Amino acid sequence: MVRSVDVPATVAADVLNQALTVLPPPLETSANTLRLGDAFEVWTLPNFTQSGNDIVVAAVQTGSLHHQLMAGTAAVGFVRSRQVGGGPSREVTQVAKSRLGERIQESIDLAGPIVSSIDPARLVIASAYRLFAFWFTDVTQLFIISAPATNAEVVPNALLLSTDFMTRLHHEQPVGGATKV
Amino acid sequence: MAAKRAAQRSKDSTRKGSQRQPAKPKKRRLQSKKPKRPKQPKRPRRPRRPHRPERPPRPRRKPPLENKPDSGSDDTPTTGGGAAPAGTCGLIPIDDSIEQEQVNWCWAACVDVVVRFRQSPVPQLQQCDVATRALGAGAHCCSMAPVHCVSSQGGASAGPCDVSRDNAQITSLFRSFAINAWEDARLTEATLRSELTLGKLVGVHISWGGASGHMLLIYGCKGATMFSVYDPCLGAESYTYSEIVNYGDGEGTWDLTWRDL
Repeated sequence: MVRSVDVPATVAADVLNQALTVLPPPLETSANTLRLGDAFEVWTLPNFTQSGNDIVVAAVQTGSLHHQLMAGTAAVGFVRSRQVGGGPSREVTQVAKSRLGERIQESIDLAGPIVSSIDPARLVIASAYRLFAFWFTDVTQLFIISAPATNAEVVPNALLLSTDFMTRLHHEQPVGGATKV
Repeated sequence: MAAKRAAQRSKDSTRKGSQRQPAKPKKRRLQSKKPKRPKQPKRPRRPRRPHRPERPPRPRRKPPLENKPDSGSDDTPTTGGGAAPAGTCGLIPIDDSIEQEQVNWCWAACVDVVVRFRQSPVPQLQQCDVATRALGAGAHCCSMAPVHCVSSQGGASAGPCDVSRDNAQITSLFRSFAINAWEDARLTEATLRSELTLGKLVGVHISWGGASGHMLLIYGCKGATMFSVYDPCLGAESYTYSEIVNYGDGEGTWDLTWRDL
């Protein structure tokens, strides 16, 4: 089961309202059909190459929540929000129309039947490796949501033990893309 | 005889259809040509006042103050004298639905989007044509099957054209399409807003800390605090300035800008 974070309805409504005011252009026409779906804590692996194979040591919590952005039953993108002050209020920091939303929804359906986790899943991102995964902390497993098609070891739809995931990730190369000299 | 000619014509047209036509060189765009802007609704004229009371002359508005960025080189004047424009920071209508077609092609997608937007009529240009131009005529980049950046597939081997480009190569590539891009440090929020108000796209290089990086375009303002960002991998996004500076959930850093796009 892929459990998500419980976001109070009033907070979710406020996040959606904020997001609706800053929708990226391709979503503007479908504004009145949008709603928020599952939410996940966002974690990154900024210096994992120096952290060995322990994901608990390597992973850093960003403080952001990732909210799936739904149009009907289809995920069309995502919203990221951050806590404001000490209260429950959140501010929207990012709204995206992205294939990532759709891919996360597919992964929820794929991982649900094969993962026995009861804690909320964490969304782990390694931007330089263009990698997105669900981290199920209580069963120490990760499900790969998206990874570059050219990856040899960390590939989409794989369910890996966290140590195995880290070992394999050390064998992958960051995506070059645009470099700076 | 006529039947023979018809058969030859049919043969020719089949051959034409099966071959890719090389991208024709485009006419150089005049520098004085103004960028496209969304039409503003006409404002009703104010009635003239019969008499204007004496008033001291208004001082000329100074350009917005800019905080120097960490890199310390954001003092290059903006094109057009650096003055704050009178318009509003709206949206520059690029085609933000274009996705990068290979793992390393963020640069090809961004150049493709800018060239399509800047050249009129819109060139029949594909991302693989941009990559072929960057890598030389011997590279047959259009023979590679596209892959999604947010991928559900693995195990593919990287094609010979699926390579990264450095900032100088990307600048040269822009110039080969008659777009006089130049490199600058990270822009301040005020300068970014000013550039967008002038109708100029802003190219952003995100460094992931090592040799790898990513390219984005900023193409408009969203509300008072956010900007429209084209990420050729993730899609069309709205971001706060600080989220762009620390792109990728804090993992990346905006460390270089392409201006005059």
